[in-house]
Amino acid sequence: MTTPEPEFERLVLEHLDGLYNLARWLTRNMDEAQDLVQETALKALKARDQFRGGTTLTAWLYRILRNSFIDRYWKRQREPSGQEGDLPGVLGELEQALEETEIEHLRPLVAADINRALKALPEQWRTTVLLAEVEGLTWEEVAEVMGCPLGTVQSRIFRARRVLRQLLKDYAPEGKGEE
Amino acid sequence: MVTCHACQEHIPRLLRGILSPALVAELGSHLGGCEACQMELAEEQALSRRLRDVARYPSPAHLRARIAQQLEGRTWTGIPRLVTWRWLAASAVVLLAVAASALVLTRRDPLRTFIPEATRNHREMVMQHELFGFPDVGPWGSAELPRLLSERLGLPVTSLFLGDSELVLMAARPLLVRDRKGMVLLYADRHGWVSSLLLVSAPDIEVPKGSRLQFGTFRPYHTQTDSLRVLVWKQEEMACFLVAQAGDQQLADLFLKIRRAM
Ligand SMILES: [Zn+2]
Repeated sequence: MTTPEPEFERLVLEHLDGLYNLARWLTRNMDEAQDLVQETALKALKARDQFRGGTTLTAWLYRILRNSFIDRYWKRQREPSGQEGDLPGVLGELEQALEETEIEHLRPLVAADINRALKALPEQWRTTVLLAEVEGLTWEEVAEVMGCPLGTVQSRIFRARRVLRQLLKDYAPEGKGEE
Repeated sequence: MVTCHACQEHIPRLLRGILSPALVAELGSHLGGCEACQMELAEEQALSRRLRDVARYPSPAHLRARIAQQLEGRTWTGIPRLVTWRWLAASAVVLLAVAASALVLTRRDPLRTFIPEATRNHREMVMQHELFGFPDVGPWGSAELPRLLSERLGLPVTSLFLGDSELVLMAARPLLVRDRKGMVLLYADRHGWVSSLLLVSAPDIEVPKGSRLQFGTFRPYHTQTDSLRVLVWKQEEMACFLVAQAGDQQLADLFLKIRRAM
């Protein structure tokens, strides 16, 4: 049942870009995203005997990542914030700003609107759309990641697409496409 | 005959290529003669194209190298270099908890595997609530919930606590808990304290005799993880998990309100 070690490693590494991308969208921070991916890889390695045939490795890994994010969010909100001056946070934001600038150069300007629209969505909708439309997971896999029935994934996708279309119309320059 | 409504509902599936050839043909003939649906299709296609433009943050090369090293280092014992100290304690606790629940609890006591799920769902709902608020209870009105639970999820529910002036039902979400259908409901009180109620089909689960609290005539099982109190009881084939961050009196009031309505 257990995937042999080198094979398992290779499969986890194959998913790294997708995991990091989702981590970035969840945390909105480079450092935290890296921590989260690293934590995910470690947990996957430790728990790989629990990986069952019923799900794909893709769905399993994304689920670990998202659950870890939820746990972190919870802990951070409920722990008294440290008085450590938050240097890592400031550095992280700087690095992030640099990276954002790079990305802006890499892709057509038009993408800025869709990113903004996605950021406006509730996390459950946004993650659903990112996994299904950007990372190319099947709807069944998305249901597995989100821990919800397939019908919920479908309705989230429909509703999110409606909202995205409306937001994109709102962002479009006045009168565009009308004349 | 395909109606416009049905046609437009199918469009996201059509674009994903997950419809049967027969249905695709049927939609094709409707689309051929319907301008409104053609417009809808064009807009959906445009959205799909724009979603392909979404920034995909490239993972840093050093991250890949570190993780590869980590995955190879089977006898890893030290501190992962990248994990910042802020998260270190938290992730150690989580790893221990994962290991412990996997090794000790899974086989012996199905109830104990559901309690972490209930607290996880609680956290997720609270996170969504804090980040975005909840616009509504769901695609259905709250009055629809008991029927939805019994008819669609097969849970033996005839009535539910749907909120009052002190405790508002904020959200309800269907979910899968260990492959079982369930639902989680989120309540918030006037001070913003949030509690969740997880209902899940569990004919095989028995609630232990010990660790009970007495509230009125009820004696739910009680446990605590981190700062979260968890009350567990069974109603017919259904297990109920009430999760809250509450003192004794608050917990008693909350439980009685919810339990008496069911
Ligand atoms: Zn039509």
